[in-house]
Amino acid sequence: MRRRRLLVGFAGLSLGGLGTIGTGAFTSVTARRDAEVDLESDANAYLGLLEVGQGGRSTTENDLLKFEFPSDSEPSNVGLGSDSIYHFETDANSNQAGLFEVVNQGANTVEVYGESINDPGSPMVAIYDVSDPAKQILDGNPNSVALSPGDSFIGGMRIDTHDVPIKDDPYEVTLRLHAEI
Amino acid sequence: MGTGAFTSVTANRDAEIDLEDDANAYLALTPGNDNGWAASPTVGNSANGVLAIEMNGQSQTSGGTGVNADALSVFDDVFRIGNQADSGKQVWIEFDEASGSTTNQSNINYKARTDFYVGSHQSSPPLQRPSNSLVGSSNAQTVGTGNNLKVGISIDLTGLSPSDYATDSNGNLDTGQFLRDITIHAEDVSGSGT
Repeated sequence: MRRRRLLVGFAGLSLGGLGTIGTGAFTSVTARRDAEVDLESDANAYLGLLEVGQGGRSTTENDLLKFEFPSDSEPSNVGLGSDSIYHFETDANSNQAGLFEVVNQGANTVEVYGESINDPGSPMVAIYDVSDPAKQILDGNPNSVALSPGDSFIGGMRIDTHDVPIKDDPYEVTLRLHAEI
Repeated sequence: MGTGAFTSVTANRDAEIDLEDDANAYLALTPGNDNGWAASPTVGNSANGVLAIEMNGQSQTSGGTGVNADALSVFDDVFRIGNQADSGKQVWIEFDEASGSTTNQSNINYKARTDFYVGSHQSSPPLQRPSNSLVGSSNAQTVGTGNNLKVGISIDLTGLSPSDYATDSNGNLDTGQFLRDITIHAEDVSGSGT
């Protein structure tokens, strides 16, 4: 599992209007305004995504968070078994809780959950809050984590390998993270 | 010798033109509700009452300084375009990529991946690019007197891998500005007069 893709929605519904009815006439107006939109690294973006641990199972490559099971620091002949459910909530050779951290660095409270984007016959991934003893899956159906601006949670990853054949090359799946108002 | 002949005359006459801040202009530009933080008239470049969109370190967020790479970011209701004139207007937007920034050093067509749209995104998953674009005169929408449009911004950077982005010598993303400015057009609805 080498790639993750993420999907962010800082958006929602609202009502309201200007409520002012002015007077006056104009035929046409062209108004030019500054609009500065910046690209950011995962660590500094509105949805902050940070690795936790030693940079093994979760790493930051080209400023983007990604996951590797096993990590490069583990023996190359190990890996996940078939027909199993694994929970990873620390990096390899680490006692620090969590694989990754999600930080709301935006301006609105958002609900955060993860979705597995994988082909049939490949591992399914899901996320959970490592402080939750029940390891309840946060997949938006219906569970998610509400993060106020500035709040964060430390996540672990659940990987389901049922009906996944063993093969030499790594499976590539995508964890899609949603953050919505 | 004639009378009344002249070669040139310069006559000054009063013309009183009030400049208003964007909120009170005939074409009113005001922050939205959901994501008005990115168009605040009180911080950054907007502190002078002229609306500016700032999805950068200037806006009031909890530390975020830009949009995520490899993500679809959808911001409903960033700002509003209100018609405070006395007749309906056709309104549309154009925008420019930043020059000399991330954009020109990469293969990413930020302009095609960015949109300004009217209304709200579809709230049921999966998140998709909103379709109600306001970009270009062919997408112009009519705004009646006293009404306003909620304008959102979507930025679709999905499907890109790190190698698609420009990187610096350390392999880090060349983060920075990729959208520079917008132009808001408002014209009389044909045939309606003013």
